[in-house]
Amino acid sequence: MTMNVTQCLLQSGDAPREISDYQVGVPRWCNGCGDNAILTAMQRLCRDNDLAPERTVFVSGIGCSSRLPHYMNTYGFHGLHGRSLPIAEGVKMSRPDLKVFVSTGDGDCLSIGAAHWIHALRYNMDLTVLLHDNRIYGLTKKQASPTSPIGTKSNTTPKGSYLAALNPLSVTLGVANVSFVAQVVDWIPELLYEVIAAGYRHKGLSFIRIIQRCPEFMPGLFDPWMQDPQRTLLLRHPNGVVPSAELSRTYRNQVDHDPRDIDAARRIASSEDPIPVGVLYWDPDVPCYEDTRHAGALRRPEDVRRGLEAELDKFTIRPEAHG
Amino acid sequence: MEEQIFFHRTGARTGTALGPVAGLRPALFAHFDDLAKLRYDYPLVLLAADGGEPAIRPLSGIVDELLHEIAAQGIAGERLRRNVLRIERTIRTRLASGERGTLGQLWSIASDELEPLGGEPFAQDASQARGALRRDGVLLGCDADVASRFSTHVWRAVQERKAGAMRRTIDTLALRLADLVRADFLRSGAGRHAATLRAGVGTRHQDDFDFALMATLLSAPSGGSALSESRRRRIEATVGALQAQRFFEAEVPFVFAFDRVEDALAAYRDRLRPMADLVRAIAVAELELRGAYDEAKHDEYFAQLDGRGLAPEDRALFPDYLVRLGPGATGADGRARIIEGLTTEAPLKILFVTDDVFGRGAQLATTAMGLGEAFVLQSSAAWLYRAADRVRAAFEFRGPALISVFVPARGTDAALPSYLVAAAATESRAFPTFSYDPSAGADWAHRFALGDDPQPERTWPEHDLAYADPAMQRVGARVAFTLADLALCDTRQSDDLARIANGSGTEHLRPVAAWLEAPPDGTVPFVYAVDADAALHRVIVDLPLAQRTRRCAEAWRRLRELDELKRERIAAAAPASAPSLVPVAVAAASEAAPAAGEATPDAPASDEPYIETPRCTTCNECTGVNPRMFAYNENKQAFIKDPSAGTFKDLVDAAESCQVAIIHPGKPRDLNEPGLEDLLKRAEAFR
Repeated sequence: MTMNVTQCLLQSGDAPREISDYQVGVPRWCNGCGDNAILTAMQRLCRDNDLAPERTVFVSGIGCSSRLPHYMNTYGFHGLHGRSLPIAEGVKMSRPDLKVFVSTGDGDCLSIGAAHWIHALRYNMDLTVLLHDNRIYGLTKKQASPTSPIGTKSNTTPKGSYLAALNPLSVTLGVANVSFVAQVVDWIPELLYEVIAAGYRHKGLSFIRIIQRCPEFMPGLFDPWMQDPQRTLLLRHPNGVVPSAELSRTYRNQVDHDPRDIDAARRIASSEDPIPVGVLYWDPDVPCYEDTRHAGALRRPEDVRRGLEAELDKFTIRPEAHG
Repeated sequence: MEEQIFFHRTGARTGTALGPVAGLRPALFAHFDDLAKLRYDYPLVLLAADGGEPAIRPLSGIVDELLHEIAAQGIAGERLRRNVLRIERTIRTRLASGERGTLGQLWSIASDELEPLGGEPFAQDASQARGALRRDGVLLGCDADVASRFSTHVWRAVQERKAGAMRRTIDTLALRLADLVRADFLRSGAGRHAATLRAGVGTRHQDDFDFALMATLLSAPSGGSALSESRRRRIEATVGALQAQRFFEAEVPFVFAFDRVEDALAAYRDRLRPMADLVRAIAVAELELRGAYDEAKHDEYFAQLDGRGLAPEDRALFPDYLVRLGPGATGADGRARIIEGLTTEAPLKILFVTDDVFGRGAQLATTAMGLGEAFVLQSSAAWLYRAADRVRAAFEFRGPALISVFVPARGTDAALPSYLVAAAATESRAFPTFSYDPSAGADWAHRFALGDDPQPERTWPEHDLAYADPAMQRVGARVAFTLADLALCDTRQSDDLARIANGSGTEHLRPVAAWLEAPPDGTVPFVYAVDADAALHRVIVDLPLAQRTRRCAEAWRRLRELDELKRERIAAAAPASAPSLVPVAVAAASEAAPAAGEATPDAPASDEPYIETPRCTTCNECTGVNPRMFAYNENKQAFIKDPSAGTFKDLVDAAESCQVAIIHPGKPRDLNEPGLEDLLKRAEAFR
């Protein structure tokens, strides 16, 4: 809203929104699936920031993760495999006033969508990207993904996978224009929420890798980390996330890490055990593509007509030129 | 010696031992003859604002960047570098002699002038450099109108950015409202008339369709509700109001730059109603586009909305009023008007130029800081570029602002370059650079900041002065640059100074800075000066000027005190910086007693079942086991809603299926539950 007046008039008499206002349908994920925790965190974020459902968009590709827009009572776009980011960029380019979130999985983003992932980081548009990383293709009943640990037995790798897992954080931190990189685990709801909220506050592309359990196809994969709090390394900093006193009582393994320091971020990113959790990198000064390219330009009817005619002229055979 | 004391006390020159100071300048100026040879801040280039880059750059900076880009490293690029620097120096000389124009124009003039001397190689270098010079703008020397042109340039850049954004908003709203009306027309009877349908199809295919039949088919209602008459009228009136605005990139725009405070205030008051009309139109448009306009609720409100009811946030979207005041405004009347202008709600940006730092009005900025709510910036013309970001902040500040600039007057500066006099005013503490920004925080520590004044830790900046004594021996002295030294630059202060004739006694003289510090002891304060032949003289300062110098030092100390306040506060607030990746001692913190209010209970002591709710990941396992016993709270995390709504077996099943193992079944309620012994064994794991 441009005018404070409008804001006041719209707010008067409106009851604050609740989580149920953002809820729709019954999630079709398996019981115990980490996607549920991510969905809840997103709904809380929408409620706490009072996001208008009609001005909020969830975009996804294909996979278990990508069902998330179905359960958000906002606008949504369930796209093609690997193509969540280009779609989200298009939405943002055309309507920079909308809040755009992206849910993508380890297969969707890191395999078939890898090129889009790298270039979306370079474009640095104001998107909050959640990488639901359960290290397996779950929707299609267990095939190895780029982040499956070496030796993972699956339908496509019955003798165990041969390749070392890709580290999405290290790759992300090596791309030009990267502006926000965080990692969190689905089983610590407080941090999950706080890290996503920090990403949402950042203007630019926030890349948040969420390490997520798949109880159906990778049961017990993260049990050692869930059972031993010392194997989770909390990154604390006023520029990132500061865990609450209560959480610190359980998770005592913490370091001060200023997310402005990319070298430290890269060092931390390569650690798999303990799992680093928090904001690894943050640079608020990287320009957003939609700002540098003046997105959301006004299209008057005459502009639309001129553009269409210019396009159609490319295919027109002009009688005077040929006759 | 008596003559010296007599002059100091009375300001009257008697006898032959004292002479006038005409033709003298401060001794520290001995090295600065021709500024055109030096590469300093000026001339500045007023670049058209594009892409948010700094809109004002020094010529020397632009040339350095250019050379960095086109000239090869080392000896290979040396000729090009020399030639381009010669062009730069010629441009500087031309400007100093009164020429005006853009960088491009003066570049051409300078290279034409130099070409006959440099021949073909020069012409080649000049054209290569000219080709690489992509940005252009008007050149600005440190002249009498420097403050006005500098500020106007920054003001305009800020206003254009603001107006551009608002104009886009207004156009978007008007377009989308027009779309509403058009969509409604297409649904209406007239919109579905055969002739309208026909006009909607390209001429080539008009004969291929039966539009009358099409109109009959479409005449059946589509179910969409048409705009009510009152809504249509409101939308049309709103589009009209949006298009009639004169504030933002309008065809007949309002004027926002003035030369008198009262004119700007009158204009602001006259425009309150058009402002309210535009705010109303934008608000109505935004409500209409969301379908949220409620006639019962909003009609009355908008009918009452006038200039007085505008919120500060809404006012801030409108253009600011620039008022440029020349040295003539320093009278008591003029000062009163400025203060009045700064205390109204009108966003006046007052540029106040003074040419006399010794005058009564010069310290207006210090007074204006006391108003509390106006942005205040003081800077001499020489420091303007260094304070450019502050100038910008003053124009971006939401509310009134005073920019007080010292620009030396022509004819009063003993033929010194005005840049030098302006810099001396900053150096002598007569006109320090400082800013007061009410939006920077709630207290003086955050709001007040000194600019980068020279040697801020001292009362007066000190410099080395080396000269030859009558025996032609080198003598070095450490001298302070004070207000009394500055007085040598201003012929209006000549009566307060007297040159000591060569050969007079100097034993009772004391440098003015030291004289001010020492108790009265019969000595007379003096400053060093040089004449046109660079001969050193001592100049006596009379008592009134010495007193003003003392007051100047006190005023400077007060400013410094405010600045120190900031440093102390910030030092106190900043946490000790920890090196990266040092483990945090959270253990100690966790053992300390939790603060009141944030205490969270550990496991309840009773035998009741419980869930560590904050750790719940909303996986639906427990609610799947028994939805009456387990429920979600307002954050969608599970808790035990009713422990009696299920069996102990439900609790144990849920605890076992919980992925994060946060369900604790407690003790069974029903001791006759079948299989209890086995259940208790399984529950052991979740105690």
